[in-house]
Amino acid sequence: MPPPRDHLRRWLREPALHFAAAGGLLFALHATVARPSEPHRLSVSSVFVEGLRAEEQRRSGRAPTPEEERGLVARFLDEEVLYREALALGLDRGDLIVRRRLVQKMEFLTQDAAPLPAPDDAALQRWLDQHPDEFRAPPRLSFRHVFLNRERRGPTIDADARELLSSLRGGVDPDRLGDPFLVGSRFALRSEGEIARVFGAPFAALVEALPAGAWSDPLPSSFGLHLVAVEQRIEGTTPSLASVRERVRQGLLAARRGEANRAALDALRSRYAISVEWPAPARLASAPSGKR
Amino acid sequence: MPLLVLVAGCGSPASPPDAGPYLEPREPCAERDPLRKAYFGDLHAHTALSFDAWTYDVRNGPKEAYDFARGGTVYLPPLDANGRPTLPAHLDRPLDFAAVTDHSEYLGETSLCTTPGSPAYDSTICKQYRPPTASLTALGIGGPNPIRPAICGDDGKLCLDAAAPVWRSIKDAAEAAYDRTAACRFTSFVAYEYTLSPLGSNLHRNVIFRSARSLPQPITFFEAPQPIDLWTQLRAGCQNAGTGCDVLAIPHNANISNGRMFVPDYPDATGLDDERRIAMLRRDMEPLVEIAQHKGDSECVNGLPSAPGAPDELCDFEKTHNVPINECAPGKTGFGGFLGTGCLSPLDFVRHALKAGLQEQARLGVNPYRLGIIGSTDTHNGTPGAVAEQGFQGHLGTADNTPKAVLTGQTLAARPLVSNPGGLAGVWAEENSRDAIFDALRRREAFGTSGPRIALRLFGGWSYPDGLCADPELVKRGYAGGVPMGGELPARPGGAGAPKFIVAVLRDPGVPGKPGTQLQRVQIIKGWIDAAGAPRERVFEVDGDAKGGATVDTATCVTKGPGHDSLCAVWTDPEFDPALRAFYYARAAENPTCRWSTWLCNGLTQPEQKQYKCDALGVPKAIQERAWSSPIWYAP
Repeated sequence: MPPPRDHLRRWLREPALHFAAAGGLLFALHATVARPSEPHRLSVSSVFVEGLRAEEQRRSGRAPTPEEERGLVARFLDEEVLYREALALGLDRGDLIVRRRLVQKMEFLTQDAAPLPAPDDAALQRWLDQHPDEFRAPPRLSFRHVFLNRERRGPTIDADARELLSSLRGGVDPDRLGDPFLVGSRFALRSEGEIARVFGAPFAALVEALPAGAWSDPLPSSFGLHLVAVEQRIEGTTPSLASVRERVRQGLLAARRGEANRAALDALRSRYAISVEWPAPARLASAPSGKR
Repeated sequence: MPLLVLVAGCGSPASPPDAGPYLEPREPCAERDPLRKAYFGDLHAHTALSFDAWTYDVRNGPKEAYDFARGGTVYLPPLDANGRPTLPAHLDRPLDFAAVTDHSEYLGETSLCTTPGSPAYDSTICKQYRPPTASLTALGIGGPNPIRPAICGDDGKLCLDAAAPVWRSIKDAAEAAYDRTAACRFTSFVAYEYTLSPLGSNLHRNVIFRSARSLPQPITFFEAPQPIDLWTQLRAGCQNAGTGCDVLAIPHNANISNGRMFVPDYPDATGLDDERRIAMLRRDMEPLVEIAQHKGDSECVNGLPSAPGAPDELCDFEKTHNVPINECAPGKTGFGGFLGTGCLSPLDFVRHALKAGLQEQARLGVNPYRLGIIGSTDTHNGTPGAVAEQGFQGHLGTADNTPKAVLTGQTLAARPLVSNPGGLAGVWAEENSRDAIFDALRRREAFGTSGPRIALRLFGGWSYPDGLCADPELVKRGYAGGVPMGGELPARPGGAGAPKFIVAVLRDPGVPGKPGTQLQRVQIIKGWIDAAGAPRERVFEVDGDAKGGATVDTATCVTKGPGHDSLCAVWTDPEFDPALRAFYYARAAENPTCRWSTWLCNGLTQPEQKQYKCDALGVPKAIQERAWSSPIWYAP
């Protein structure tokens, strides 16, 4: 779901744009970053003060007075001093919120970093072949039916159904038999679930079990009785690439993006000498599952 | 086949060039029924990309919303420690079609403010926008004029640029969800919501594109500060752009527009001809209205002195406004509807808007409110089609996802307690493809339901025989002898009497464990303009049992009593006057069932029931779910 971030990442690397974006904090970091050799030097440039002025103007709709401007700078200096002292004391370490924010920023900078090449048809076809279950269509049937309305016919419905069935088996045009059924008399290539949406699940299961070719005995639904002729049954198939191209493309790209991100993380990891002291296996087995 | 020629004629000047049955490449549908089938969908669903939804911890995007519509499982708040939603949600049965309609306004701002590391993420505005403050006004919403927040820069470019990939992701998700195989299992639409709310009056529209050939960016209230600007720009930028683009807009929640949605209004018109031009533009761009959704019913209302007609008890359904009603002065509008305040006008309700359309037609020769009818949800959870009363999980993230929040909470808009799970859009279409469904919407062969999958058909003509309800070829004869819902009666043949209507309904078949509810009755609502020019209406009982013997025990939600699996009648207008303009629409009602709040309260412990005042919520304990057809019009 997250949209491509290339343009954001570009902005992030261009400090000159930060005031335009009102990203004041980011600008402040760039403008006043402490040089390691002079940790207690704090100089504020005129460009920075102009930036503060512009941001204030955007916020309040007018330029700050000189007095207000001095207040803005003073507030910034207070904040900056406290920030540097906090860093000096190591207060950023072990803070879950700081840690999470920094991780988020690094993830943002490292993930989805390289544009992925557009996959060609061969790659898409391979992906479709390798993930048949994801795209496979369920078994489908085509059928027609003649409806008998239970409410309209009352106690004669069963006898009426038998009579209609013999007419049908004698070759009478089914369009001219039975009661009107509002939502149609022919259904094509529907899965059992799609039949259930119209007729209810019990009826769909009965139709699913019918052999193809002949008129069935009367089958009950929520609405009455139906005489059903299954005309065609096709087993589950894998669709053509053309018909599912976008879904295949997104599936493949998501997987490649995952691989690329993993590779980027692994590259960073490779800079570290990592050792893990695993606890006894028994404790692992009793750990709660992380799945929601 | 001549039948199709008869019913497809709706010569909008903006019809796309005939490109065969499909505008886009796809396999032809295996199931194509010239007599048309009912397909059910939701044309109003928000995701985490909407500025409001995100602040309530909704994290489902368009992909998740379409997965949900197709029967997949998605997750709702509360969020876990990693910011991932935890509560599973899925539909008992998938939808046939859906449109993700995120608020087009603030798509870029929302992206900038919710993407760590973006240039605006650490700005004051974004910090105020995000929880815990979660201030929507931080983005500038609700101001008197549409002004972009400062994070966008002086020319707004940063936010427009940030919106571009979001809009692309919306289109990509629609593309991926659309079934282009012959099975035609599911149709998605590229869409968005235009969110104009002057002074808190709701003038929102959902903009639905026929195909992937849409716009490079949505036209929002920043570009189109009045509805007429939206229609003009959609016509120029989409329909007349030569790109194969086609589009329609569907207004919703007239019920909180303080009379503004349908007050006859022709901004800057230079004269009658210009008013006529604007009326035609509106009629062509907005063929439908969303009559029911999360924030209430917009069909009709009782208790307005200026709205004539006998009380109609079925109008007392999912009302969001305060009682007693503060009525707008005659011909005037108010403001504040979105915040639950301001005056109520008859024009806040579709039935009266349809009558106003007849009056405008008499004045201008054009009916700007030739409105077909649909329902939808307006979910902000990315859960299109989540309409079940039983087990309703809410529609606005953390604002309504606990018994306390939903029974006692208060949001910017309607209180969760007076809100409801919303409805569905039904269409009669040859098949489940974008082209067929869009065409059905355009010709108004559409209906709305308050949630259940009730199939409702209406045909109007001059010579239907009385025995049609027993004729297996009822539907074929309905088309051959007249027009379906959404159409205008053919010219009255010499010697013909009153118009006849075929009304037929099939109940919701339900799902295992949740059988659908039987039908109680079906009615026809007629609206007309009398000889003195005054709007009139009357509700006619057509089939079923008006007295309604069935009941629901609200302590257990068990229903009992008689009902109907289907209803059907051929009805003749008993007081037809050929000189007067009129419209007719059908309304089918189920037997009473428990409202969502009753299901919820019944599942709570006694102390909880007491704490949340379950015995005195001030909302009905039972409702009658229903379906509304689009009207059929008569012109002398």
